[in-house]
Amino acid sequence: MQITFVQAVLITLFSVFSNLMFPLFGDIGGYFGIGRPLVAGTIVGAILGDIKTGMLIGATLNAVYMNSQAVGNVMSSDVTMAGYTATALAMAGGSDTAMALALSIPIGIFGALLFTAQNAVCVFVSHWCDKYAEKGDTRSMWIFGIIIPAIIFNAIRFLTTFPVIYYGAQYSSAIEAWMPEAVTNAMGVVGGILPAVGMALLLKVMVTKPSHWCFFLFGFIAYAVLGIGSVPLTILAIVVAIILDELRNKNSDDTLESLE
Amino acid sequence: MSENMKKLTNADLRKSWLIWLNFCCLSNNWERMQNIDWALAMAPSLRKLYPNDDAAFAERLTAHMEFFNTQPTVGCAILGIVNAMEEEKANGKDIPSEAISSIKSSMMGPLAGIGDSVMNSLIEVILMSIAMTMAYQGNVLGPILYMIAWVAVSLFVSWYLMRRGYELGVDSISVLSSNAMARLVEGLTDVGLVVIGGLTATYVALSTSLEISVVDADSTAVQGVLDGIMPGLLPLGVTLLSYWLLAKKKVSPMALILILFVVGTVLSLLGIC
Repeated sequence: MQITFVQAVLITLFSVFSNLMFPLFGDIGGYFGIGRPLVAGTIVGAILGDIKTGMLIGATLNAVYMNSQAVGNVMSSDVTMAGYTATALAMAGGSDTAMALALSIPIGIFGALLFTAQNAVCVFVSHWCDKYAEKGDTRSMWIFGIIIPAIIFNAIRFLTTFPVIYYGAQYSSAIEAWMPEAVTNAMGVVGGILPAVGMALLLKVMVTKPSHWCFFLFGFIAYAVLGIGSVPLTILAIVVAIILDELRNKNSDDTLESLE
Repeated sequence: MSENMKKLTNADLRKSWLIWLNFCCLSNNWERMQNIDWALAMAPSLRKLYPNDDAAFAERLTAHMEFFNTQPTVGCAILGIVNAMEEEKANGKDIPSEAISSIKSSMMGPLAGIGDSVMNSLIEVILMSIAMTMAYQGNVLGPILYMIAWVAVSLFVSWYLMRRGYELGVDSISVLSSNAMARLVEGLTDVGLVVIGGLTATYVALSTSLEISVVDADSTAVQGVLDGIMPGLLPLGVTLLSYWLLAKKKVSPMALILILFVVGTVLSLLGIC
């Protein structure tokens, strides 16, 4: 599949909109919104004219990079840049999910390095703003503290992402054609097991006591063996959680309503 | 209430909220993190509270340029509280600048923890899991519903906390650290883990093409035997192995991705998978 100039510009723009330094309700609309690989893949698919393929590649990327967030600003991989660029290149080269996964690793690391560098540059920005704050000059704080850094950082993201998508697409189909069947099969196996990383990362954060494993196994068996769909499964889980909460706090005076 | 009491309106709070949410991740820096946007988010309220006193305005603005870092959505509670404190201070109540600083610095850590776990690890994951399972079945509504639900929930939670923080002021701390909050986290964790179990079964895939021959009989596919025990045994094994490497062996996520890349390739080339 060829990626035209206009398509490459559009994909790059969405990739820029989803980074943390673009004001889209902070991380709500961007990083955790259109920046999630599932949404990114769907948008890339829509731009390239095959929405379902893009969505499926994005969904698998999302499984691998599930719960990837910048805790305390430390980012191990910039999934927003990886999601858009890797999905676009994989679609250009024959829509191979494993190819998208392989590409997402170096791209994600590059994006994270860029973010780290931006944070370093902004140390100076913060010191300039001190001087304006002492004069009560919020206008200059906006211009030098927010607007100019935003323009520069987002321009850098655009200028580094665009050539990778536009020129990279021409190579990815050539690579796809050259790849021997054994490698394609191996990539299929890799694409199947990599989502285990995302799941394991979530488990690492969420399992805080041994009994938590019961809930995980319950969900796994409900889908793998009993075939319960995701919406009924979620409702079932909420029902169980509420019953358990009642049982655990039978003798407690404060209820969830006290949050009001 | 006296005639010249200065009062922040809903519109003032909304302005502060919008500036904070939109720009909190911009100009993030390693020295004082979100300080620039925090000061700018407080600026419209401070201007209103000190309309004619430029010196006091500049002094309060400078005070807000100190280190600040929290999770944006849940951190709105702090913004609400600090707006309320600044209002009281401007109305002559004896609130030293250090009191405001210490509220900010004592709340930002705990609230970042709540925000990262409740918003980004629980609510996001639960919504995303439903969307991803829909997407797996080829349903484009999955990502669309995710976007709508996620943005709606996040904006609602952040504005609600902003309002509550402003209304309750310093008293909000007791609500946020109450037993009810811990129960909410516990309940969401239970739901999240069930959903992740289902997601693991959907997205992690591994099967073996190995065959074993029992004496004199036809060869038996190992996968058939495994499925006879329980479907999805291999994917479950890979996931638990990954968990063990990440949590117990302290392997980094990027290293784990590379390990699985190599292992998967080798298993495939050897004809095992």
